[in-house]
Amino acid sequence: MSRLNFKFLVHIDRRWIFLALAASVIIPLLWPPNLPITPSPLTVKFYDTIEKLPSGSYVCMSFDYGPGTKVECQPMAIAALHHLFRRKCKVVCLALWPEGSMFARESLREAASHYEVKEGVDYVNLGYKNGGEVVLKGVGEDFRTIFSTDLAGHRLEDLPIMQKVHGWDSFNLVCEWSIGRPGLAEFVRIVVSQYERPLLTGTTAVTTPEAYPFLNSGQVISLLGGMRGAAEYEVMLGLSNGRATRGISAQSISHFFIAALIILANVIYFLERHYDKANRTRR
Amino acid sequence: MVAYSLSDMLGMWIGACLALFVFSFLYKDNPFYKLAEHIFVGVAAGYTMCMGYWQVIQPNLIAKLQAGDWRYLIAAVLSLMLLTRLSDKYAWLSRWPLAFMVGIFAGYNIVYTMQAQVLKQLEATILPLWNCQSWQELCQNLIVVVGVLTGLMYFYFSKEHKGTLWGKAARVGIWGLMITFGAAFGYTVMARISLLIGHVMYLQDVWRATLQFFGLG
Amino acid sequence: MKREIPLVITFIAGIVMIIQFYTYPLNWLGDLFNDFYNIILTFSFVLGALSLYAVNGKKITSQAPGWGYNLVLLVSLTITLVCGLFIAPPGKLPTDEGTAFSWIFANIFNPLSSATYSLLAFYVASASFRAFRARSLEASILLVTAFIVMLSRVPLGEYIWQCLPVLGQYNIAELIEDWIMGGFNAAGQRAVMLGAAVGLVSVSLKILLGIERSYLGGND
Repeated sequence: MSRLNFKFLVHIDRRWIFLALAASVIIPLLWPPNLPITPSPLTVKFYDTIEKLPSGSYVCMSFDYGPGTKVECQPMAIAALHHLFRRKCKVVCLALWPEGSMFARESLREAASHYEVKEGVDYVNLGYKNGGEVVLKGVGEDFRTIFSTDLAGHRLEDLPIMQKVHGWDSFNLVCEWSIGRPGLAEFVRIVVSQYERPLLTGTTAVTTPEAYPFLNSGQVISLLGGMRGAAEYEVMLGLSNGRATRGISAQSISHFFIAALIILANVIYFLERHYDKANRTRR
Repeated sequence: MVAYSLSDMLGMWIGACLALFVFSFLYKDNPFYKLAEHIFVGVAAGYTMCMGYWQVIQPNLIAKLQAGDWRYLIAAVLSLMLLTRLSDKYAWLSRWPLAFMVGIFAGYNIVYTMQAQVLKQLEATILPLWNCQSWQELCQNLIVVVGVLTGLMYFYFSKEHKGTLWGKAARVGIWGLMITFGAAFGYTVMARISLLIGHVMYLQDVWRATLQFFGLG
Repeated sequence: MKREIPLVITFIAGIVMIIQFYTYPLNWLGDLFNDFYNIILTFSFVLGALSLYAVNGKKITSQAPGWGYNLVLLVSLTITLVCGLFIAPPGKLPTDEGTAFSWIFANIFNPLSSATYSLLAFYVASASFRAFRARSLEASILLVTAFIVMLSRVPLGEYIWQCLPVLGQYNIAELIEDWIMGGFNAAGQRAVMLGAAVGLVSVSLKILLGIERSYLGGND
C-alpha cells in the first residue's frame, strides 16, 4: 500500500497556523455573523438572583483580575453594575489584585454614566488591599479595620454609603470577578463559609471548571463562565453593544478553526497508522 | 461620541505599537519584542509597588502611626526586617516576618480550607442513591459519588493501582478525570481565544479612534 | 535563636488565627495580625524592587550581553515609580484618574499585559494541531470531551446543534451543564480539590508544630 505524504502538513511551519488563527479572529470581528446567543441556565440563575434583590440592597463586588483577562471579566462586571444600578442597589467595590482597583474605577465610570447615581452615596470604590483571604477575614466584622479610605483617599467615615456598611453581614449579596488566586476560593472560604453570605461569581473561562465543585455544593449560587457567560448576561440585560457580545462571534469561528485543526491532525495520525500497519502486514 | 485629546491618541498609538512589538514574537524573537518585554516587566513592577504604597502602606501603616497607634511599629519593624535578606550577615533576621506570614497562612488553611474545601465538599458528595425523584437525578448523583471516590482512589499513590477493586476503581477514576481535563482544555481554549479577541478589539478601537481624531470616521 | 524564634512566631501567629475562628475574645488580635500581614506582604514589593535594581544594575555595569534591555527595564521601572509616588496635581493622589501614572497604566501596562497573554492563543492552536492525538482510550475521552465543550459553548456550535435531526430538540447548553460540567467535571475537580486541600491542611499543621521548617531556608 503506497503511503500518502502528509509530512508537509505535519511539519507545517507553525506561523501559517498563527496566521490562519489571526484571520479566524479578525474577519468575524470586522464582519460579525451576528448569531443568536441563548442564555444558559446558569446565566438565567445569575440574572434572577440580582433581579430578586430588594431595592436599596447592599452588594459588595470584588474585582480580582488583571489586564490579561479584562476582556472576559470586565464585561461581566459592567453588566452586573448596570443591573444593580437599575435595581437601585448600593455597590461597594474592592480589589484583591492591584490592577483590580483601576478596573473597578473604569467599570463604575462606564456603568454609572447611564444612571442617576452618585459616588460615595450609591457606590464606592474602596481600592486594593494585599493579602487575599487575610483581607477578607480582616474586614469580616468591620471594613474599617483594613480599609480606612477609598481609592481616591476619602475617609470611609465621610462617605454616606459606608454609614450602613460594617462587616460582611451588611451585604445582601457578594459578587466576585475572579481569574485565580486570590479569588473565588478565598471568598468561599471566608465570605461564604464563615459569614454565610450569598455569592455570585464570574470567572475567566480557564478557571470556570474549577468553580463547579463550589457550585455543585451550593457554596456559589451561580456563575458566568468566560466571554460566553458575559455575552449571555449582556443579552439578558439588553446591552446589545456590549464588548462580550461583540467578541463572541469571533470566538465561534476560531473555536471551529481549532476543532478543524484537531480533526485534521487526528485524520493524519490514523491514516499514517493505517498505512504503517498495512505495510507491516505486507512485509 | 467621545472626543479624544492628543494625549489620548498618543497613548493609544504607543499602546498599539507596543502590542504589535509583542506580536512580532510570533514571527521570531527580535529586538522589538525584547524591548516591549523589558518595558512590561519594569512597568508592572513599578505599578504594583505604587499601588501597594498608596493603598496599603500609606493608609494602613503610615497613617496609623501618625495617628498614634504605636502597635503598628511592630508591623513597621517586621517589614524593615525583610530588607535584611539583602545582607549575607543579617539575612536570618528576615525569617521573622516570613515566619509571621507563614504562620498566619497555615492557621487560615487549617480552619478555613478544612471547613470550605474538605468538610463542605465531602458533605456535598454524600448524595442519595435511592428514592431519587427522577432517573436523571439518580444518574447525576451516581456520577458525582463514583467520580469523586474513584478519583480519590486514583490520587492515592501509597497503594499500587492493582487488583480487582483498587485497580479497576482507579481506572474508572482516570476516565472521570480525563473528562474533567477535557472540559478544562475546552475552556482553556475558550479563555486563550478570548484574550486574543480582546486585544484585536483594542486595536480595532485604536483604529476607530484614530479615524475619528482626524475627522475621517 | 536564629531558628527557634521564627518557629515560635509561626506558632503564635497560626494559633491566634485558629482561636479567633472559634472564639471572639481574641478577635482584636486576629484583626491586628491580619493588618500586619497585609502590610508586611506589601512591603515585600520593596524587596522585589531593590532586587530588580541590584540584578539589572549589575548586568548594566558589567555590560553583559543585552545590557541595553536591562537599562530599559530599570528606566521604565524608575519612571513608573516616580510618576506613581510623586507626580500628582494638587489635592489628588498620583494613582487618581488623569495622572501620569494612570496614563502609564492605561496605555503601556494594560496593552502590554493583554498582548503578552494573548500570545497564548496562538500556542494553544499550534499545540492542538501538533500534540492532541487520540492515541489511547484515555486520550480519546479527553479529546472528545474537549471537542464537545469547545464547540457547544459558542453560538455557531449551538446553531449547528439545533439544525441536527432528533438531537436538535434537546438544549445542548443544559446537557453540557448537567452532565459534563456539573456532573463529571464537578466530580473530577472535587477529587482534585479534596486531595490538594487535605495536603494543604496537613502541611499547615506540620508548619505550626515545627515539623516542616524548609520555609526558613539556610542551615544556620
